[in-house]
Amino acid sequence: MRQRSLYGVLGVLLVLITLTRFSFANRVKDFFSGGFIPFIDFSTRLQESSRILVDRFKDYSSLQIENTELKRHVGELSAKVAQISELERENREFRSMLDFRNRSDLKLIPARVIARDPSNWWQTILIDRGSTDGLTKDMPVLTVEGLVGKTIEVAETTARVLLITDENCKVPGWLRESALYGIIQGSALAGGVSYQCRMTFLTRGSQVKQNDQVFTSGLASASNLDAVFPKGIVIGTVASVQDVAKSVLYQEVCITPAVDLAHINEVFVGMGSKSRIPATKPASPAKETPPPRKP
Amino acid sequence: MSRSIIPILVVIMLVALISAQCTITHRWPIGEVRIELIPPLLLYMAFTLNLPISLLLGLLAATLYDSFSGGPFGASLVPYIASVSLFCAVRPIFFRNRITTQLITGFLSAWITLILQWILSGKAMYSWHNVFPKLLRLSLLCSVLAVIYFTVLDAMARGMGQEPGRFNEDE
Repeated sequence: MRQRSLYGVLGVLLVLITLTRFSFANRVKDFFSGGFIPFIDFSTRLQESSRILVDRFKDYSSLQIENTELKRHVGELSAKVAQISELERENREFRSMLDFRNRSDLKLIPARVIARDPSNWWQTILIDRGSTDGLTKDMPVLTVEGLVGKTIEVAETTARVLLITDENCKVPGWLRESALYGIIQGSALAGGVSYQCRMTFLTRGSQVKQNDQVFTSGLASASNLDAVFPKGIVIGTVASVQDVAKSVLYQEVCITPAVDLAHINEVFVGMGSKSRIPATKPASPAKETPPPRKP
Repeated sequence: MSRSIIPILVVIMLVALISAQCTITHRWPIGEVRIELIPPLLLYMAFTLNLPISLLLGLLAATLYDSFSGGPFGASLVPYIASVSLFCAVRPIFFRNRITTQLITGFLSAWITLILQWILSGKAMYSWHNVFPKLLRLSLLCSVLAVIYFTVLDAMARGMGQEPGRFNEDE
């Protein structure tokens, strides 16, 4: 019995070994493997996807941290860029101010605008220089671009400046191309437009060109024989000319100030001609050169 | 909590608004005018506090305002005191918490304050037709501001456990 079954198994093995040597075996193999490929493929893809998903979840928290870090870095850099550009602008402004101060015939004191007039009825600014810096009433205030106004009230450490756009500020001026003299007066109320001036007392019917530049004439007023505003400071340009038919005794022109009065931060206070200004401190007698001794 | 918290709140607001009026408002002119931040606060004072405190705060507001203004010292005193006194006197006839009341009285108080300020500015010789549109725009802006002030300050007062505008008229 045992021998018979042994022969049986050997016989089956022999048959199988014989069968594998023929193509039929391959076909059987292909049939089964081909049928299973989609399942195996699906399993592989699923495994791959789950691995990627797990990896992504693993990376998500680190990416979040990295993103936060990068955002902070970008914010820091943007702030630095803004700071640098602001410093550059300020540097340019100060350079031009320094250059202007050196070129000017006036002795100029730099000042910072600390406050504006809270009211709509007056056009004034408050600067951080006062009587301790040598400021007095009726001193011209200007910037690199042109005339700003004049000092009207002087405290110890501050001074109030009446802007040229206030109706109470009257500046003797002249038109460069038209060669006409007149008085520049603010028109914030009268004209209804903020930061505008008008030039009055021009001869009726005179030919005024648009965009003509307006300068201070340096003429003194009847009440104050010393001119507040020295000659040759830019005031602005002619924006529009009044219709001749509308003018009564004198012609008027609208002036756009050269200085952007809404955005000024630094100004100069003119303290007279450089040549006329005496030294702030008299030379000490000790330093004076002694007279040559007689032999 | 004591009722004295509202005047303190108003004083803090007043200082902040005067500072803003002198340093910020010129940068953003609305319709060629700089917004006036104080008149609606005067109205709030008149509708919320007792007459003596309102007058005292009105005086403080005028002094602070005139200190920074190029106009003659005291030019804002009469307009501010007049506005506070008038609206303190007429407040019983108004429903304080209504938006329409706040809009209308905001406009009227600003109009009265600004017109008096303009007369006292010494520039009244300039043509009325140029000043009128300016006054109108400013008053309209103030009426909107009045609603904002009432909403914000009332909310702050309620947050501190007080009910603004509920007081004894005989005080």
